[in-house]
Amino acid sequence: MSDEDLEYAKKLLRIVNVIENYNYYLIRRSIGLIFIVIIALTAIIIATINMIEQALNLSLFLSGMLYFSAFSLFFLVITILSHNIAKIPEIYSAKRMNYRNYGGIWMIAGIMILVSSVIIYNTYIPDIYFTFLLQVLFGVGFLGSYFTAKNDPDYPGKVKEEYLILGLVLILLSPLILLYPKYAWITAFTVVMIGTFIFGIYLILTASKVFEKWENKNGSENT
Amino acid sequence: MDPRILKELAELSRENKLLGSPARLSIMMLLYFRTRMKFTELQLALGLTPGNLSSHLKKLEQANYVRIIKGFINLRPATIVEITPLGAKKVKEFASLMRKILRDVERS
Repeated sequence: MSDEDLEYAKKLLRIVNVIENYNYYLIRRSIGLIFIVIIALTAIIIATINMIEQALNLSLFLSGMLYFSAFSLFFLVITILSHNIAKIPEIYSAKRMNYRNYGGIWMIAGIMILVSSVIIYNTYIPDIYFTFLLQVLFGVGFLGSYFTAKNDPDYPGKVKEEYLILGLVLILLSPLILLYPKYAWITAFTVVMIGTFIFGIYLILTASKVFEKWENKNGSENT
Repeated sequence: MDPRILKELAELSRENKLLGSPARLSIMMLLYFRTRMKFTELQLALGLTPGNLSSHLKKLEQANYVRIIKGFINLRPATIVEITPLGAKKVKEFASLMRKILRDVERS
């Protein structure tokens, strides 16, 4: 076979690769977008409640209730709307994805955050332990997503190592909260929010990685 | 081109007569990535005459690979061509078959 034929075959293979992985590309971008939306809205909610808290000089109990109600409502809305935010045309879904399976670990992490907030704020346990737990549980959530992705070749968007890195960063940086209790919330918000925001942007910018991965795999098969 | 590739590609075209035509395959590939396109956009992208494009689209519509919608865009009448889930499935299947053939060729 001539070099020209081989080159032509390679070009066709590249097109075929794009067709076969296009749905993963779209899903990866959608996942990135969901994380950015979540972080942006969380920042808005926190800033608004903080302003209300200072303007009305609310008690700890009232501001706690305000945060609790706002975030319960927020997560309810996000759960309902995430299907629309991440909606990709029906034609690209090779099979129906059951996102509930992927969200299970986050559901558990969310319940644990809620339970720990109730326990810590109603007992004499110092508040910084909640901040510490919050960051650790976010890390555990991302690690859970990594292990789910590891065992599922069809995991939405083929996001895998990215979850592991973010999860480890969150967990490994969590002792900083206990070491510098004065800056506990600042540390947690900086690490969790900026980390997740960068993660979302990274997923969008590197969405075309789903095509490269295949090409590398294909290349190694040939050697 | 290698006669073996030609033979295998000819077989592939015979198996799926609709996508075996380069023009129809190009229409379907464009629609696969864009989901829906205006008739004029498709015509411009592929360099086909309106009659030629209409004839290909009619065949694809009969096979339920595309859906043709007549509507208005900015108060102007427009013909919109949309890929159906069956059409997308066929493009993917065709791509997989092509990959199989091309991989064998590349290995040999």
